[in-house]
Amino acid sequence: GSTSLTLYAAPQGEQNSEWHCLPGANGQGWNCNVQSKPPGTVKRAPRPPEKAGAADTSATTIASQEEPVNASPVHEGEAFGPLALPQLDWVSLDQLTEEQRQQVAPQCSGAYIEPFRLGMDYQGNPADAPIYAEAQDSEYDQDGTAKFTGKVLIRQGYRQLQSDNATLHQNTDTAEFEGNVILREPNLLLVGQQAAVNLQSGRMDIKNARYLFHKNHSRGEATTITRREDELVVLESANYTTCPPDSNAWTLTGKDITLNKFTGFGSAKHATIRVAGIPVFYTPYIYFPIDDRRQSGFLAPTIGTSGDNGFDLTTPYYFNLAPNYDATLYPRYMAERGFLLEGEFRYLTPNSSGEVGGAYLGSDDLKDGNRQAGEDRWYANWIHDQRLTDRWKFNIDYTKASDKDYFRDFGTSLEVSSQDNLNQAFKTVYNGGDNKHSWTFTTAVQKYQNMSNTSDDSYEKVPQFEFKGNLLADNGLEFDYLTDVTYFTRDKDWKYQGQVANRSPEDIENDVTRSIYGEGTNEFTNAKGSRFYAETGVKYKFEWPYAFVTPGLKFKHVQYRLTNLDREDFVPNGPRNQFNLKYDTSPSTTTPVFTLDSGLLFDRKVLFGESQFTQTLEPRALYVYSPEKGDQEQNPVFDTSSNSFSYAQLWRDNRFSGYDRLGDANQIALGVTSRFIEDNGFERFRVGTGQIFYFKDREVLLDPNHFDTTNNPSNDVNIDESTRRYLDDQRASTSPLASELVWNITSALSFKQDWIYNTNEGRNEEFASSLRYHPDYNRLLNFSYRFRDQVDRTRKDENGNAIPGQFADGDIEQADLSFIWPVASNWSALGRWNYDVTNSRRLEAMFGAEYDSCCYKIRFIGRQWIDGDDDIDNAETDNGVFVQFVMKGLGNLFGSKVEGFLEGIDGYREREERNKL
Amino acid sequence: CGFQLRGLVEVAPLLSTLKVTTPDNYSQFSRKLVHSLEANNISVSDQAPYTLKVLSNEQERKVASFSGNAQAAEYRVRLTNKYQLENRSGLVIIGPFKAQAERVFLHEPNNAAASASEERLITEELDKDIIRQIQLRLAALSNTDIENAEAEAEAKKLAEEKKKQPL
Repeated sequence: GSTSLTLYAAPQGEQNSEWHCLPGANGQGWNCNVQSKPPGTVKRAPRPPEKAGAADTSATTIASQEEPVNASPVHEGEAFGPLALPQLDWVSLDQLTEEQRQQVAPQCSGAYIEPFRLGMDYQGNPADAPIYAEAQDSEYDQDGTAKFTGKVLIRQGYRQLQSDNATLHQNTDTAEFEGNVILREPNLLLVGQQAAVNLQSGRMDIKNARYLFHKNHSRGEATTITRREDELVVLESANYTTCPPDSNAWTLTGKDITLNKFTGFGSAKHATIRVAGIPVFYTPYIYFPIDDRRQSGFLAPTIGTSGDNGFDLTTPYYFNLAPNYDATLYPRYMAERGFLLEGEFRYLTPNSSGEVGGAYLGSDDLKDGNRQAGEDRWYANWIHDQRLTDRWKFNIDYTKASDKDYFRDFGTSLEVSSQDNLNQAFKTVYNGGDNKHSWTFTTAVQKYQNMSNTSDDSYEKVPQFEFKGNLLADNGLEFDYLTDVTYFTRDKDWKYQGQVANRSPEDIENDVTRSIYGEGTNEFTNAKGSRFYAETGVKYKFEWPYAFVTPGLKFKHVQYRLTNLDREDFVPNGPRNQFNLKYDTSPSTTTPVFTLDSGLLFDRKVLFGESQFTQTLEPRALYVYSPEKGDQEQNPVFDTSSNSFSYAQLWRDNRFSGYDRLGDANQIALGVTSRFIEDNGFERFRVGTGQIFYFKDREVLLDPNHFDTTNNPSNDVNIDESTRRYLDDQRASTSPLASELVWNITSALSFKQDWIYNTNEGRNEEFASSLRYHPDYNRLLNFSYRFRDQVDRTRKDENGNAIPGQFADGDIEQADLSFIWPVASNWSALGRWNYDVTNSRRLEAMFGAEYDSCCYKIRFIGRQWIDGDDDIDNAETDNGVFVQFVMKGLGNLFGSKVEGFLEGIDGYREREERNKL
Repeated sequence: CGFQLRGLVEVAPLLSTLKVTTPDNYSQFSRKLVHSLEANNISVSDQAPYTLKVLSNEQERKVASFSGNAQAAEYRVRLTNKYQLENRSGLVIIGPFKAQAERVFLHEPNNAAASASEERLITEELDKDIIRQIQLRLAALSNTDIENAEAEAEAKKLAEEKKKQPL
């Protein structure tokens, strides 16, 4: 179709008059003649409403066909000229509608709102739209030039231009505007003194101009703004900021800034970032986001300094590659160590999601006390979840690091640096069957990388197959079955034996200790091989509204095929054969387990103030009988240990976590739970307590070979005492008293407590309570105190080796306080204080302040932490000071790796998600 | 002291059949949830008038306490589950609610595989606790509660649609 133009202009002497213009026959320019041509099929742009009445009085064909518009929230006369627009389109908070107010970015006192104008919702190419023009006065020359004076308004599609004077050149299809030029397009406002416009291509050049992008609340000034044919906006000698009109807290100035509304990016050459007018950063080129799309760009840099790493600067850069995948690079410079490049890549497809990450530092420069001095440091990880079918899933969780110290040296939080084993797992799960008979088939490979300098390597499952099912018969019978076949192995050198000083005479700074590992001390711990475990059970639930009785019977069978056994350990009556065992590479054990679970349910209505609760009282008894199968001394311990004792342990039928030990039992657990349930079903309060009563000693022990658990100097716990406790527990007639309490005091405040009291020895085994107060996303307060009684550990010498016969308190006793709290307008305090009571020192102390405004956020954080190392007795602390400055709108808020130390504040991550722009 | 053996608690007739959807309808959690509902006289069917929709089912593991040299000593497993009740046209009438369950266990640095065994056991038990919390919420609803909530949600939806229409 051809382009049609409809120009309206005020004729001499009249308030308004109209021209009707059509393109010239040659397709160039247009012909405008008053009342000379019928409108025909001309497309019409809507007219401004306040002019509609006036237009009706003039006898023109077009005006009468305009739809009258009744309401106009904009008065163009008032908002005329840049001098009358000191605030651009800024609308303060109290002037906004409720709906608009919800869209306002946090900490902003207002927002840029595009005033209503006709055509602002126009869809399509504006070049195809008719042009509408009006002015107080107009003049039409024979040479094809139309001159408009006084309140000129030209509109084409979604585009609108206003100025004091304008000249339209018919021959060249161009126009010039002078005096208080205002150009509007959706999400764009340009204001200047002089503009040249090509009406055909849409190119525009504005001198000494200001600009505004509403959606990104960004604005700036430039000597020249060019809106190019391709709709890119190019600014000469310009600045850019997302701060509100009354603030220039930060600005980016550049020689040549390009703003691309299609990609949502801006770029600038010779860019300088100024904070409060002071230049702080220069870059020859910068690429930054200009709207609220997920954008590539720099994330908040972190500048810090700490003892080991020295000056430490991370300037993450985010790559928005596609809607469903992105990447972040974390270039990190550490003055003492060198340049570490870390990156992560995330992806999401309809059937999979995952993350690939890694880091590399070539030749670690740090010498002092660094076990990895001069070596390359790196890690790689891959997390992947894949849905193969609705029922079949596959996942990978794999992390590998160059050395044991990697995360202690480069991790930015205790959470990361404290992990002692890295997961290296591949797993597929198939969920089969239906609701009556459901089953699951799992295949997995599970390996670990031991990151601890003072503990053993774990067994690895290469591979594991598990088939597990559950069958519900109509009459209330329930059958369970489980088969697990796993091959367990580990390196020959798996056993932690101690540390050795690695001295180099010429460079005393390289005096570091390294761990030594060797083989274990007996055949069972060195064994490798496959384990077959099968379990089948049946139970029937007799049930009434007020009671249940569930008898159950299970058979468990475990069988091994072992290698790597040492025949010397099986010499009849030999010194290393306490139990007089026969050499057997395929030991097996079968045992039945009978359980009788029963409970009663009482309730009553109680009134607390205004609220009515149902209080329940639920006594429960679980009887477990399983005969002792004394042939388990020859079963190795692959993935089994004693469960941590807790209230939940009362209701389990085995005291071991894996399948290597089938616990004998003749015991009854008695417990009672009471709940306060609100009318709407919300559990406000719960307390449970109980104890196991044993009718016989527990014969099946985790490690039957107590003869070799002498006080080996390599062991850094007090084996004698832990053995005594373990054996005493197996002979006691009652378990410790276990209790748990959960109190949701309000929806924001909750309290939890676990308490385990050893009635036989009269001591607390565990006491832990935690308080969590999260009234809203910006106010977080967490406090916890945890105590767990542990045997005294062996004290260590300067090399980190255990000193036999010298002991130190081994309890876990810690207080952990973390918070983020607004203290004044725009200011929040944040911190974490994690205190190790046992060793009378801080594990981590961090305190910081955050200033959050409409266009930037700044954090100052001081942090002191234990440099996670093997030597408890002489643990070193490290200090760091970190500054983060976030220029909102110039990058996403934070990358996940940079502010890791803030993740120790429970609720921090949710807050950041919430406060994202 | 006022305690009595619990009498028969009827499920709201409107919920006597219920549709259940979870992020993974074939997962162990989903099946346990369905079993548990069925054991409480709610028959699960895709033709039911209301849907129990589990929006998310997240598991998080964090260090609960450290040893003296800042190595993990205890871990805390926390499950967070968000769920809501929807009517047949997908309108949220009750919720979303959050159910949370957590437990701390002692970590064994010398046997990571054993710690993994215990974590798995605990996760299964916490699943049950989450299901119990959902169950309690559903049991507390009466037909009137559901009807009122639905009417309210419909009215709110209507008001929002009106707002969106151009003047």
